[in-house]
Amino acid sequence: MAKKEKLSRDRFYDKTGIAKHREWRGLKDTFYDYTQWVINLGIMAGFVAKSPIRIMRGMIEYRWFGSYLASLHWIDKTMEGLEGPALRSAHTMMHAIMNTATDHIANMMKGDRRFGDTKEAGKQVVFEETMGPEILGGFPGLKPTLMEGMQGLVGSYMDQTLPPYYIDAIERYGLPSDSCRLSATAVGVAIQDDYPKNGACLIVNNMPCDSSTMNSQLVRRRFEIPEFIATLPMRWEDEKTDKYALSTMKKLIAFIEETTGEKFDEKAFFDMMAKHNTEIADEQAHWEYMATPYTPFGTSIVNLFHTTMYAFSGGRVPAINKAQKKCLEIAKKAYADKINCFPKARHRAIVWAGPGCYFFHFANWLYNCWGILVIAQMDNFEGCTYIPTDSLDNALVGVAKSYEHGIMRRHLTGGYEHLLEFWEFARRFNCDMVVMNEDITCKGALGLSGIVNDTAKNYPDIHMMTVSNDLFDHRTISRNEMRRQVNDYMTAVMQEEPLDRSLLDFDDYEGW
Amino acid sequence: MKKAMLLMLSVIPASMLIYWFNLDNKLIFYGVRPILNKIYDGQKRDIRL
Amino acid sequence: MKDLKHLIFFEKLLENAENELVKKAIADGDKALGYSCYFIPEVLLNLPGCFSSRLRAPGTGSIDVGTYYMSNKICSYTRSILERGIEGGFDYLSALFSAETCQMMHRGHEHFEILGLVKKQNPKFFMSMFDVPFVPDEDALAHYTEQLKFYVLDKLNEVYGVDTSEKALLDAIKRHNEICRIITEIGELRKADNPVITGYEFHVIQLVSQVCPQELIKPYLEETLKELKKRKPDPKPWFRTRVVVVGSENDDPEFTKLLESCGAMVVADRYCFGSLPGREEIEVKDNETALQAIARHYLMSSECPRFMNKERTQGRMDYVKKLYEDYKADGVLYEQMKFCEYWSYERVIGTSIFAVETGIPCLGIEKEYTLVGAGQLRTRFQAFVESLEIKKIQGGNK
Repeated sequence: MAKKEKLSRDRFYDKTGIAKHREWRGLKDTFYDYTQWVINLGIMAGFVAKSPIRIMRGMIEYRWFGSYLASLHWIDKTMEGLEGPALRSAHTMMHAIMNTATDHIANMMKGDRRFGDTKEAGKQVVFEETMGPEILGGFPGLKPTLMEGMQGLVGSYMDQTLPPYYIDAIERYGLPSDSCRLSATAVGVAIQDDYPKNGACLIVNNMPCDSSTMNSQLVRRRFEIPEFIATLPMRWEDEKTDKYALSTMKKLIAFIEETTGEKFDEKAFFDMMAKHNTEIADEQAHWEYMATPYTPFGTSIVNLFHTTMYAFSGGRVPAINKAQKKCLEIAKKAYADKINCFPKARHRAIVWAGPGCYFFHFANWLYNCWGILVIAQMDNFEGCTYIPTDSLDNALVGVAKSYEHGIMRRHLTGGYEHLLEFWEFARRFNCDMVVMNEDITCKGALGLSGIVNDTAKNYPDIHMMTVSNDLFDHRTISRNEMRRQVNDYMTAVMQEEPLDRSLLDFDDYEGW
Repeated sequence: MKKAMLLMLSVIPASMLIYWFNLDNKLIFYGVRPILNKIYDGQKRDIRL
Repeated sequence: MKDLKHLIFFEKLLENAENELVKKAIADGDKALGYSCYFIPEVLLNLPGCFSSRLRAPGTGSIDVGTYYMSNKICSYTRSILERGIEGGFDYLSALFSAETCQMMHRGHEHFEILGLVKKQNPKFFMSMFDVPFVPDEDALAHYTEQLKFYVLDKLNEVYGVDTSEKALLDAIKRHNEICRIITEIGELRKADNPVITGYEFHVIQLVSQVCPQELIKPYLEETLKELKKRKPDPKPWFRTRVVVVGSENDDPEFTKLLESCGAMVVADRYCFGSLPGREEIEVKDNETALQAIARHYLMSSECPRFMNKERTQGRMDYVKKLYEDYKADGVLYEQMKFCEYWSYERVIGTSIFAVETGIPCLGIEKEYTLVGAGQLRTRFQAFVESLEIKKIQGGNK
């Protein structure tokens, strides 16, 4: 009797995508995964213990908060198909991410005036995406909290059904559906009064692009705290813009001092920037291994870890650098032992441009279904700026540059040549494939789509596959639609067979 | 002491069962999520631009 | 009303970017300097030996090639400009000035560099792009001034030896202000209860002042102003309502004609390529250079939605309200080029915040660069006009 083919998708319920049971990876790796699950439970218990009443109230109050109950499911999806050193490095990074994100949400709830006045609120500075917290390095008594990130971006990662509530809220006021979904979601959260009421002050900004400039003007109507507009140059490669960037940073510092009563501490700032630089350096040490056949870093987790580092750390979260160093050891060992950490890989790919955030584990699916190993995504190469520490002015310009080079900004603004850098990254990381995300609302990338196609002829050794998505809205282009686009390319152009037929086409529209 | 040992020894296999059969996520998705969604849908929020 | 003497001539000039007057100026040795955005000061492109040419793509049909390069989810104005550029329609240009103000437009202009457009005809052609701040404070002004100096003046001087001295700038301001005076005086005629000019005629006049060499079009504009001062209006106003049009890029007088054919006179043009703002005179204060005055003027007068500070967000609404009052309008039309991010949001602000806070009737519409879907637009305009009439009868909000 023929052995029944083991199909991955059999493990999941149709439509919801909830697993019937967890992934079997052999005894050793499955037990390891179990222990990491226990640690994650511990992290979540620790999170609730930080402020149980406020956190419970937050969960009942905010729809986006409820989506974070999908965390364990989301972690499972991020680990799908991983084993050995890849699984270990992924879990190491994920613990750092979990610790960072839960700390952050706990702080937001502790400072939320909606649940009663609190001194904690006055010690927080709310940052709009996509500014990292570096500038707060000089204010050791203050904590950064993100606006939009937890509600929109990470919310979308967790639960594909979340952003549509917010998108619909703003579209009811007439915003067209071709407008950037990230910005639309941010405004939608404001309309629904779903932002926590925390913070001594609010820093809005013009990053990354046109729609962010506009959404800020609507979102801030729901914040009753003093506001500063941090506008940074779009033409950031032009050194002549540095003077203006510096003036913005100085005014920002003065604003924070005035609204919080705290004084800027230069020594603390330089200490933090040194830690920021260490994070950048250690990450780039990872890159050395990512270029080799023995990298333990791949699929969705790599990008997420970097975005967490950029958005939340900037040198202030010790767990990030701790995880980086631990992962470096894993990488060194895998390299020394010549371990192929991704044995199913048939292709190595860079993923570029705006992703379908509602299909966060797309890279895991690419690996498991088609053997396409995603080495890095565009975000990995954004916000990787060393900050000079020779003088305060230079350091502040460095911080401005870090923001200007930030997530979604570095490659989509400041000149067309930046968007085209993926070819060189593909070469640098020994990739034979580029997966070009086509976010149908991202004007900065769409505006060069023809040029991107034209440049492909200069790189005949690198395949380019375009996959359309709608950033946060799974209703327009569902996960299965994205899968179909890949399937079509891989069968028609690459003429390959999938590694697992059950992963080709399935319905997970209703699930998280 | 004996009771504590017994408790600990039973927690581990129980947790393994929960882990393996994904009971945590099933409980949250099929049990908790619908209740929370009812709460969210029934909320009166200050909806305005 | 009696037809304006030069209207047909003006309409003909608008049929082609490289129109009769543009050709004449180039034949006389002048340099055509292209631009699309208000943040590229028109006055700086009218220095000695140069003339400004605000880019339009009249008579646009298919934009398949522009769509290939930029996708079908980018504003059709930008795609049309690119298409026209690829076709050679802008080969008369000596330079293209751009700013990273709007993502789509600057991407469109980047294609001029990437694809080497115009270069075959003119190897000295260049595309120069600069940075524009998002808030209008003193640091922003200094930054903007510096950017204009490096990326407009110095570039013109370096490549074409254009005189960018203080005297040349002051002369350019003087000439620019003369055009502004004429257009403003013509525009003010729309305030009358029974104006001697239609919105369509004004749209045509304002456009020719932007797309033709100013020294060559000026005599015609002066004559038109004289003519309008003597023109007798129809015994009764031909329109049923008066509207302010606010919005994104609008360089097609047929749009205005369509709106007016539905009974709504366009009394104020508060859109990109419009005169409000755009035709205010530049004042040079005692303690500033000509370039500083120019930078200050454009930064402070711009009503672009990308200005983020509260005062400017509110200021834009206040400005529309003022226009509504000054031009005795009955309503406001917020028009938005499809896919325009800035005006998508500004339209929401207009129709959902401004309209509610002021009680002023507003209509928001989306449009393409060409008048595709004119039938649908007509229906909406007609309904809007009727609602404004009913409001007037009921003693509406004034």
